[in-house]
Amino acid sequence: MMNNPAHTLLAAPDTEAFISYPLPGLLPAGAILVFNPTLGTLSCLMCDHEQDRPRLLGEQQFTPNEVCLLRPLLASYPDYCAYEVLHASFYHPPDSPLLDLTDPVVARSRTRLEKMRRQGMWHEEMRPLRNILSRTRLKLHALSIDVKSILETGCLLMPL
Amino acid sequence: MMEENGPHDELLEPPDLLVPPHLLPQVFDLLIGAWHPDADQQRQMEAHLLTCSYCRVALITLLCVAEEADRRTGAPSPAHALLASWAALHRRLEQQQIQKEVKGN
Repeated sequence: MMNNPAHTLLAAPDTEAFISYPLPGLLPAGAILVFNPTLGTLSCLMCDHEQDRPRLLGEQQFTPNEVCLLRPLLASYPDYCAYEVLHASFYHPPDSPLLDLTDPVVARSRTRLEKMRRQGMWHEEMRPLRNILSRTRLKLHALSIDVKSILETGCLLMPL
Repeated sequence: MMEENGPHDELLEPPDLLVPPHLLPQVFDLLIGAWHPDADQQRQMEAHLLTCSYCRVALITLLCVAEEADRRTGAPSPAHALLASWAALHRRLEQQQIQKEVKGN
């Protein structure tokens, strides 16, 4: 799944004020997630056809560390987000461009994780990241989204 | 870098894994014990899973769900060994694919 079409679906470049994620199959029909990089807020908006205006279904604010994991998770959907991408993103500034599987920093994370796996230290290496991921997951639950962990492979967004 | 500036309407449809040559229905049946493939069917399934990352990830995800269900009920989990080996194989295949892509660029 190297050429995930979802990686190219996002409407707004980083320089714009908001980034939108339609996430078909994950959100109710007609709903969209909108991320505000300045405030770190993720809002779920839906068009209320009866009232002919948008309706805010929910909103959560994420810390910079959580944003480091949130953005690659959202950008990877409907594919899973590989742990090496999450690992590399976690140690990158939250406002840096999204990393993909072919980035050299992701390759370094992959090598590092593989080494840790062989030494039986994978869980220790991932612990700081998984702690933040747990908090991110809880906040996404409020938007009816779950983060499913795939054994030593990555994380997948699913409807709660 | 992942791109964030593609228009929404250019989103390519992911394949329908319920339709051949994909194997999601067979994977479901296999995991609930409703399908017992013969040797030839097993070979065909394996061949597809080795080349189709979508079906492979679907299998791994379902095995994760099966393992979690086993853990909740306290039942011994045959899913775990399968999951570990398919996840390891998937990582190897994905890494080979990435190396190919990096060399191709």
